[in-house]
Amino acid sequence: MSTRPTDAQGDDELLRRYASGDDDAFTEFVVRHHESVVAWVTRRIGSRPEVDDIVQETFMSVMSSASNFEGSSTARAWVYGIARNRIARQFRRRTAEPATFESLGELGLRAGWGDPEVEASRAESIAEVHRALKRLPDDAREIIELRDLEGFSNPEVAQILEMNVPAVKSRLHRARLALMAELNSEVADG
Amino acid sequence: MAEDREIAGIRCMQVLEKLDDYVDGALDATTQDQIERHLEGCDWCTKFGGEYGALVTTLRSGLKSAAQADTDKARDLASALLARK
Repeated sequence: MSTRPTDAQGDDELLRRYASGDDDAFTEFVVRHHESVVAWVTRRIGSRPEVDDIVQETFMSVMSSASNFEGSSTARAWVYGIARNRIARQFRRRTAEPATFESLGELGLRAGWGDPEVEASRAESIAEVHRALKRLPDDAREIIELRDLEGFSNPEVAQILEMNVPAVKSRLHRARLALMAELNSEVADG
Repeated sequence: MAEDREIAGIRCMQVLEKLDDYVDGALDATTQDQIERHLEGCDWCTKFGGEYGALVTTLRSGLKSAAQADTDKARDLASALLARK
């Protein structure tokens, strides 16, 4: 159900044309993706001076690697993966597995599963959800941002995070439950 | 805490495990039907599943639509990078 700011096949074609020497194709590719990459990098690291550098390095890498793009996923996911690696390199962020493990059942209980007292059909505003999202651990926040805010498919998220699809689905499920738990704790705290 | 009830041949815990795929419409028809029959008989799963689905819908309501790109800035960056080749 993703909303695509660009056409994936068109992206592939632009990269092929650029690899064959058409500089205008590279410009068109940057125009298509620049704004969303800037927005995503900003969401990941905040409004910092490094955003422009990371975006620039990302597209520089696109330029030097266009001929190697294999099309195993979409070009958009490929670009986000490059940007993510640039962020990791710049801030030496760990992009490995979450530090803590809670069983799905325990997580579900914190999220309100099976709790007859939980408020029915509680409707959170987007602002409430985004506030709760910011309080999640980075790995949980990142996967929700990619899947639900950026609209990537599970295979695309798998490419960006360098994981397999079942691992993406598992992490996403846990992240959404953690978000529900966070919203529940917000209600409980008043 | 809820009992892990078995309804329509599937337990609450199994419904919880499949909730993501259910919300995404990614289940095969048989499992989809089994979960729907479970939900008909399980108020806890119905309520929790409804909240879960509503949360995903709320998140995706902010899904970026085709953004109006700042094409000047993007073109400037592309030109600068191409000039360095």
